[in-house]
Amino acid sequence: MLYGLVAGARLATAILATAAFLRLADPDRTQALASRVAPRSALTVALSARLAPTLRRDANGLRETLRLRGTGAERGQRAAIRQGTRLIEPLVASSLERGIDISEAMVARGYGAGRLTRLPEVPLQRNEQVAFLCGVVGLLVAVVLLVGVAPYEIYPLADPIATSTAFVLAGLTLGVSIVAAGSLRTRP
Amino acid sequence: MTAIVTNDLRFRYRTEAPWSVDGASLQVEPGEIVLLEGKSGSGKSTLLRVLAGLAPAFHGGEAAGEGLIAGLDLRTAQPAEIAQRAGFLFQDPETQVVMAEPLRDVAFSLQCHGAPAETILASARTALERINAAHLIGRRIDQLSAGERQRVALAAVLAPEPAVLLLDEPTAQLDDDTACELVGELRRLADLGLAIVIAEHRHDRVGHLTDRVIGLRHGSLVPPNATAPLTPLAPVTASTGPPLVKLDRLTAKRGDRAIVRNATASLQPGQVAALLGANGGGKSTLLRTLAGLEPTPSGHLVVDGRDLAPTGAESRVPLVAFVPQDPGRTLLCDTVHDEVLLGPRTLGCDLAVAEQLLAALDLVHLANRNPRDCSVGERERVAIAAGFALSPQLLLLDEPTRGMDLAHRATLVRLVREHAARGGCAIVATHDLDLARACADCRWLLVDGQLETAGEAP
Repeated sequence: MLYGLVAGARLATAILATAAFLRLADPDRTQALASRVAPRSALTVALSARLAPTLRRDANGLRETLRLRGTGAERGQRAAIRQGTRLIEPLVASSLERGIDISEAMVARGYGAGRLTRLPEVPLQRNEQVAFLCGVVGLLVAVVLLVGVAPYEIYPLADPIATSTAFVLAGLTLGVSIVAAGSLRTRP
Repeated sequence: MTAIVTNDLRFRYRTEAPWSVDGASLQVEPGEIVLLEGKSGSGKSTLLRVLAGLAPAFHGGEAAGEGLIAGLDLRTAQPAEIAQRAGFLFQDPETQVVMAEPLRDVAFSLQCHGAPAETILASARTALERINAAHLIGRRIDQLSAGERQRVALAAVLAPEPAVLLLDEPTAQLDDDTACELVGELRRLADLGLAIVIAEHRHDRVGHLTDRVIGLRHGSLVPPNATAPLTPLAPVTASTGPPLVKLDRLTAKRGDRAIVRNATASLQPGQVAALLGANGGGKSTLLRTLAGLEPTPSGHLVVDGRDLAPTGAESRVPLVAFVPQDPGRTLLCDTVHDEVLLGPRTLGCDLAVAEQLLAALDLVHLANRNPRDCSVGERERVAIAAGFALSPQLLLLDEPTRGMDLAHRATLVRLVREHAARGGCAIVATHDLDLARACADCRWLLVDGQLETAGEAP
């Protein structure tokens, strides 16, 4: 149970931190930058860039389907939880499908054939500078933690101290991301 | 050099499964436009994916036989390498998008083809202009209508000017004018030496400019069937009493913007309206508002004497049923059978009707399959069956024929007319004028946010 909670919290933190980052930074420019410095990671960046918006859109679409099938009329917290639970499986299936779709689309457009032209990019705007700075700081913190405090484990155990630390750090990351995202005007 | 040569090409998604492409031997010369014709699920999209090198690379499965595309051997060439010479348009434009903004998305294709940096943005703009989509520059792709997204996807495929074009239903969501311009553009490109293979159910749009038609049945290439336009069924005599559906100065909004203003129209029991208009004109927004998925800022929607404007979608079903555009993305259940029966079970409708619809829409053999393992056309039929299964008074269908072959379109027409014969009403938003003529007895046209109605068939 605890293990599941920790794994879920990690995943949720990663998704929310990515979403907060992309509220500040233009996803197309982020992807272009990734293609430039780490071409093989551009797919990961593209998937991350689309994850939060497409998850939100798919969740909305699925919720609409529930309403159109007459299952959205129930009221109350239990009904909300039941409906939310019902969406999890199709939502996961949909995001996996979209993962395949975007990688297929990139390759079908010729990505990965080795000849990628770099477009001249305009300088980063202030909100993007903040986003990238937060990202770099987060990366450095993660590296320090991985090297010194909590080495990476493929199958981590639910150690109480590490778990509490992970929750605190996740909360801090999330808090900083949300404050940063909220305090700056997002790009149109 | 022949653009495409295949010899006994085979592909199946799982070992032991029947071949989805079964012994295809094909030859396409530069300058030739070949139309692939076949029922939904006959293997057209799969054949195009195999030719593009995307199957089995992205879908697993087993391939056999041999093929050359623009001089590249399908057995050894990487998909990205093939993409440098062969542009591929996906059936669902949603899956084609890589970037968030149209100009960047088209530019991405050119970047991947190594075009000179200084020419890319100008070329991307030109490609969008050629497909009537320059006005979309600067907008977010995820906020475009399906037809607008299809234009962007087409521009992204055409921009690098590959030697071969593989297009899966390129006109499915385009309005007539844009489809006509696209087909003219394809003919022009073919005359310049491109080889083009198109899978398309809308023969009326592309048939006259193609050089050859090839049929596909169960994955095998066969001589094509003669195609005939949809036969209009005898219209139901609409009652002369009070209207069943009445729109009274209704406004529909997308976000903060009013898209349709003061729409006033009515339908008698047994009447079917075809909702027509250009891409991005507000057809989907109007239908979503009528379904209760968007709030109604002003005006009234009265169905069977009840004003539904203040209510949401969950309160309108089963009186109103809506099949949205691209419904295949948002199916909920693990099997086709459960998906179609979900609404009737929840709302206590007659399950026998749902079972009959599974048979009518040719879904019985798919009943135990996960809808996500179905083709686009099959998913569309699942969603349509789920809509009809609620036995609504007002049925709303948004572009219901994507991925649907002629036989299934005829079935859809029959189902709509039977619904009308039972005294129900329907509004069908479509660019498919053939469908509109066959199933509707009045026309609602959206122009500049105004709804114009006409009594005669479209």
